Amino acid sequence: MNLTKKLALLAFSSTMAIASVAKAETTIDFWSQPYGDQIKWQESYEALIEKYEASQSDVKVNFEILPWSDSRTKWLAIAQGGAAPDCADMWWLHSFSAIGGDKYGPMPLGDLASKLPIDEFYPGAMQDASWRGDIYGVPWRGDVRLMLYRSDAMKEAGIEDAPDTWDEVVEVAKKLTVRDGNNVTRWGYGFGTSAKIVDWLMPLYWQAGGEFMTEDGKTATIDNDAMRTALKWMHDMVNVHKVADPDSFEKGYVARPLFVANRVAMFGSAEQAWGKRMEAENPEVNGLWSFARSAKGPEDRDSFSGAGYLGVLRGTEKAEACVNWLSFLAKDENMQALSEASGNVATKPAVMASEFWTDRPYKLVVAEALQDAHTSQHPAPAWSAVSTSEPGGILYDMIYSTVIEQKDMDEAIKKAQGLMQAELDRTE
Amino acid sequence: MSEKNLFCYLMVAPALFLTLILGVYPMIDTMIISFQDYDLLTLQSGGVNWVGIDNYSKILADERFVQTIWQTVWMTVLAILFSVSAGLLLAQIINVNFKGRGILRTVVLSPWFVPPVTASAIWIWLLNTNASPINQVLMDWGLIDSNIRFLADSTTWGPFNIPMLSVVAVRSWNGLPIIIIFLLAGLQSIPKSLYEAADMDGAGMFQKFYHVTLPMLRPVLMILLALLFLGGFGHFEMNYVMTGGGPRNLTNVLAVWTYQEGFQFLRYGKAAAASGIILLMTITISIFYLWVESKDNRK
Amino acid sequence: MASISINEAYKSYGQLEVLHGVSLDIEDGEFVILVGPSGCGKSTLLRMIAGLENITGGEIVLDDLVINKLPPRQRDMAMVFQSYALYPHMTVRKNMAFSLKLAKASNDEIDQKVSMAADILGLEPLLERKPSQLSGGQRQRVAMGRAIVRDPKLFLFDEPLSNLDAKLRVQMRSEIKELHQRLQTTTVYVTHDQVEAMTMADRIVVMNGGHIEQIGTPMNLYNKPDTKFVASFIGSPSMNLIDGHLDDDGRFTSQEGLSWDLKDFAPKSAFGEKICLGIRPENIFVDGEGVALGEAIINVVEPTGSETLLSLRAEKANLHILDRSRREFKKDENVTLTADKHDFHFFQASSGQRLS
Repeated sequence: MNLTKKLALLAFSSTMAIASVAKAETTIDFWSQPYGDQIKWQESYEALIEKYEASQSDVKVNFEILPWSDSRTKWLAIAQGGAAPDCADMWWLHSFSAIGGDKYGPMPLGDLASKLPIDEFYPGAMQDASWRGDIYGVPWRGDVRLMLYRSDAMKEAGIEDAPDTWDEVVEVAKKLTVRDGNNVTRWGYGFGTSAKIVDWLMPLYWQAGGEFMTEDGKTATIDNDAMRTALKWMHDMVNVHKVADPDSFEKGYVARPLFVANRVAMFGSAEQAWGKRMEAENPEVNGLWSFARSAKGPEDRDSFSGAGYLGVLRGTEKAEACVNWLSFLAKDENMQALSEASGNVATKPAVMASEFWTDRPYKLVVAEALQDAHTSQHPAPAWSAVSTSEPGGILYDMIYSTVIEQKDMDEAIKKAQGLMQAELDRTE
Repeated sequence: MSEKNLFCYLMVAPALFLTLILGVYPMIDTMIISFQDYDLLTLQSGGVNWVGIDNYSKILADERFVQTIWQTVWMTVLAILFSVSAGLLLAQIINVNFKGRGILRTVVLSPWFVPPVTASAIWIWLLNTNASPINQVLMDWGLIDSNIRFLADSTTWGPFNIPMLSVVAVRSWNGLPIIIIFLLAGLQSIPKSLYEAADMDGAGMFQKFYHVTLPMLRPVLMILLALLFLGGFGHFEMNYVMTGGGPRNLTNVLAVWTYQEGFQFLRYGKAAAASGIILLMTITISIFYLWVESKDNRK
Repeated sequence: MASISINEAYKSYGQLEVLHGVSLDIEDGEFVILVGPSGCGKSTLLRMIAGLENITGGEIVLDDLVINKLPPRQRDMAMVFQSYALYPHMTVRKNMAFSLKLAKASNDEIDQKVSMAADILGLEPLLERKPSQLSGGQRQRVAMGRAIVRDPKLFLFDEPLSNLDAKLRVQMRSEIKELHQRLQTTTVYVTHDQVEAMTMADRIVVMNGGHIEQIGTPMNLYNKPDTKFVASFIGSPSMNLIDGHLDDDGRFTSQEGLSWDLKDFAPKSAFGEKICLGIRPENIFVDGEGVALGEAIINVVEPTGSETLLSLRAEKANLHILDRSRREFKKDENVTLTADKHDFHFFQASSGQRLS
């Protein structure tokens, strides 16, 4: 037959073939932020996707890395209607849900939630994947922050055990601080490894018995004795005992090189992921550091804890396929793989009991510390704005004016309470 | 329309199109937002309301914001002062043909090879109170007895303070290459015979600079200053990465304030109003520049 | 007013030597012109006098003071540049006042001197204009005004008329000469145009390849050129130069077939030598009286009105004649040529030196 007819036949049959394939399977777009080495992270997910696609033929997964540098603006844009994937590795459920409302952003799973093994997760972790009674996905990583210290510095100072209470922390910090004339060559205490100073206040406040807001997320509760206790303790560490570096409150302070160089001997609230990172990137200090549970405050020994979850985005037409993929990832062995690859604490007891999480002393400590975990998310969409660690942030300003500027504490707290309440009222 | 005109329009069209889409449209959109109560957290539930100049009056009533406006201008002026003075000097040195000129040229242009964000990261380390090699050297020479807190010391002497001077120094350093290139080009177009005539007339080094070099450089300097002011008022990276506007708001500039307001506190309306203020400032500079230029042309 | 002496001046740029031991004495009030082809070193010498170039060897002495190490501003000299080098952002008045202002003269003194100079040069109506609003000739005058105002010991001119059109050049030549007669300031002037040199100078210094070929008054150089180079350089149209041999009987023969009897007046030292014979076009006559030069056929006729330039072929040689008889000539016309015995110039073929 002539050329035209041949081409027509070719076009027809390929369309048929594509259509038949298309009918048989769905492809979903799945994004994840990278954890640790970006290339290795990509490989880990690709291995999981291979396994998944081999186990069933209905769903194919199209994987993409979302770099942390773009991540927040991306999620912000998505919550306002920007182009979104079908499902992803997500965070800040409360804020993005509020921004997106019923139209954009995270999607509540409704009935589909029954397909996920909700009961197999830590209840505390599930908190981070739920909002206003709805379930939005499965939590997959934990970020618990506990005490980290230089064991060589401790030995040098003749200290046997990690401090257990606030008072012991003060004593130990004093012994670990080393001065040379007018300069401090080693600070005995750093509040936290994260660059966000509000994250330092949170566990201290909880340890003093406080909570930031009521459970319905409508009333701010920071004007109380617990806040005064926490702030005073922070203030004294810097200005009275002089064991904490005031410069750590400024932007541009980088904690890890200082810890590795033994210029800071102890952190009160250290990200547990540092364990894996130091093993990989700073082998020269292997064996010279240890984790310990957060010190006990007057009331509690709560530790800062954040989680990320795997969820679905509004606007997708492939919700069922997504939940299928998520339920695969939620299996013990797959959660294990993700946890090992990222070095993040897992959200299932089954995983935390595995060999991976028990083969090092510090990991055992981390697993133990999970029982102290207190989520850092709060049920108010404005929380992210309230708790942002930028100058001008409500809690930031309160901490800074009390600890660094040494202005009147009561005034600062009262002001912060008023402003925070106004913020919570914002989304009514 | 004639064929030649049509061709010209076609050639210009792509660039014009991009400018409209990527430059003009977002600017207009932002200006519209600045007159609205555009709160991301209430966007879906409450929608967007017109509030006229409410946003503007609110931010202008904020002491911190007014301080930030002043600092934006002041830091820009200082940075321009340092970098243009240093640039003039270095450009003249490089203009002379001497052995080793190539090396000096490379050293002086090296800040160009480093993107601002990277440069900021490097400088943060160099200016870190405890780890700074600068502090190290100064201590060894006995010039100081305690480390200088380059980015954290909030003592002020009138309008000056150390973190501000540190950031200004880094900004000046980063801006040197382009200034030197501009000035070098300008210098090389000054005829040598003018300097010789000045020599014969009895002019010394400084007088030659003042009566020959500066007036001949005037067109280049005007353009350069206009560009530097426009860029300086909107500068973001170094202040944001090195100090985030601190300590105690001492190094805050309008672009950083806008960023924080919009993306951290999620209040687009007020952030847009701050952008509006930046726009007003840059428009002022542009008008001033155009006026001076037209005055020259009229002569 | 000043006298200036240049003793064995050398100038090298790195390995390249451009002035090879040049010596020259200039009297107080003299108008001396340095002339020569491009690259001969005249501008370099001028700039060395000004102090704009360093002196590699030798001395420059101004009124008994060795000024080698003095910077330009301490030499009390004023220079007029080829490109005028006026300060573009200053008015004419300010341009002229600049040096006085630098010398911290009083405002009254400045005004007076500027007015005087402006008066001499006819610049009054232009005082408030900027250089960009002036014509070439006007700018030239301002440059001179700037120099006059300083009342210096020495004026230096570096090819000041090169950028002007021919008519203006002629006009400016006489103005400059007039100015010199009025002010009587010692002047050193550089040009590549020998007509300028001849018309303006008290004495001319002909330079070539970093050497001085000859120093003398214009008529001196015209009548008795010391070298072949000077002979061909001075005088327009240039001298006819013919290479040949003068045998012991005084007969001059050239390769192109010329054969002339010069026995009666040729210098003794020329006999039996390979020589270069020179005779100016204006000194050869058609059908005249004097030394016989044989016959020639006219090739090209260029009449200018008062004189006619003829190119002729004599045997195989090309000769040029400048005829002032106002006769009309035709191409291919056959003519007889003669010349006066005093008008011949004899140069040694190898060295180019004059034989006399």
